[in-house]
Amino acid sequence: MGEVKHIDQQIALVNAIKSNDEIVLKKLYQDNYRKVEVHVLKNKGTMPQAKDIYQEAFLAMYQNIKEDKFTPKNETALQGYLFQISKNKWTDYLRSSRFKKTTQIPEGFQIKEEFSLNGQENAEQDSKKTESAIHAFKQMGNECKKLLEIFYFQKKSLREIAALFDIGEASARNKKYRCIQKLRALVLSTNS
Amino acid sequence: MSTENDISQELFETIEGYLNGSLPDSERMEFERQLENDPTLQQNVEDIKTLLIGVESAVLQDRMESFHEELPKDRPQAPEPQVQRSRRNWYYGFGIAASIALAAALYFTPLGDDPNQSLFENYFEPDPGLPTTMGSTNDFDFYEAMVDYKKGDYTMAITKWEALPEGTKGDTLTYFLGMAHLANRNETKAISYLEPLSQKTNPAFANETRYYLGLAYLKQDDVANAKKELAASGTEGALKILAELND
Repeated sequence: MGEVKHIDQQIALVNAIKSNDEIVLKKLYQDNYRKVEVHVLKNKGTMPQAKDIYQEAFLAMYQNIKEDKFTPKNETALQGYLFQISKNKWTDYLRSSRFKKTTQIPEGFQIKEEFSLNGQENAEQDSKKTESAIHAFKQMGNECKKLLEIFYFQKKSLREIAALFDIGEASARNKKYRCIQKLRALVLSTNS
Repeated sequence: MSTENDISQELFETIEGYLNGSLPDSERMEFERQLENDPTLQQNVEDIKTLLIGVESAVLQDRMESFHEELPKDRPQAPEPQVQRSRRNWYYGFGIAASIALAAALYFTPLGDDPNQSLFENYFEPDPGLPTTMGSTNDFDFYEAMVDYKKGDYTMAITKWEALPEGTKGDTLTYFLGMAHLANRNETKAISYLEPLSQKTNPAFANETRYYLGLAYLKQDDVANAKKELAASGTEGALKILAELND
């Protein structure tokens, strides 16, 4: 019984993340950061590196949830998954030439092998595309950014957006389409 | 990304509806049939999906910055942002630090000071504010003042917010005006903003409004109203204060 309830909670958590529940996202972010920070600090890292790695991992987790690449299997699945991605990313960094060039790994210091995450490598190309979409979004004008944020992240209805921007619903809808077209064009221009 | 730059608005909205699950069943089945045999359409769907995840990811990156800024301050390496006795003190544990703080509070509180005041000071911590990097031109002024608010310059924030034209004043603004006044320890003004807001049927920040309204009453030594609002708020902080009030 207890286990079923926990899994239910995980499913609820995943659904809350899918709908961008900001309270849930914030709590998940804040509740799990410390553990990653401790891991990075214990393994030759700094605070800013811990933050960067954690945010990368958090974003990867978020995107995988959005694409249904993650299904919870036990009661702390998501938290464990987040920590695992962070650890893997940090291990990758420690193995990278950038790190080795600047640091000497002391004797007896071992980087443990971690189990690999499903599809993590295959996802590389997908994540490059998403990366350029993120980059393009950041280059957009404020109005489009705000409108797309409110519609796609905050999941507000066109009616609410129309009220917020003080325009008609049809204009809001057209505006949203035009912003998406702009975003597409920006992505295409950076990729070509 | 496909090289076909143009997707009609109609097609875009169908794809969008397909992706977010809002397409009616009949249309969805028809669309899936088309999708099966149309590689260009498949590519379009993939492209739009990537764009939309990109939008959400970019906003999340922005949010993560504020989540990080607002990490609970029991992190030993984080600097204390403001000099104030706050409920965060309690998170340091019930060890020596808390005992010293408590002893200090007892010694340095002027005689005759209201215990409600110390309770207020122990618990009150202004709302951390809204992320400010995404402000559109429309509410630029609002967010500019939010920056002052987040820096702790409440007086400046109040001046700017109160100068905003009528009609732009939504619940969010009312809430933060109340908050800024309370942070300035002007509880009467704070109540004048928070009280009407709490009467609305479904205001933004409903629980927070009642929590801070409760604190404002506490600061006014109006324990009955404080208890009422705190109970209505039901937040973790509210329940803790209630427990102390009932001790």
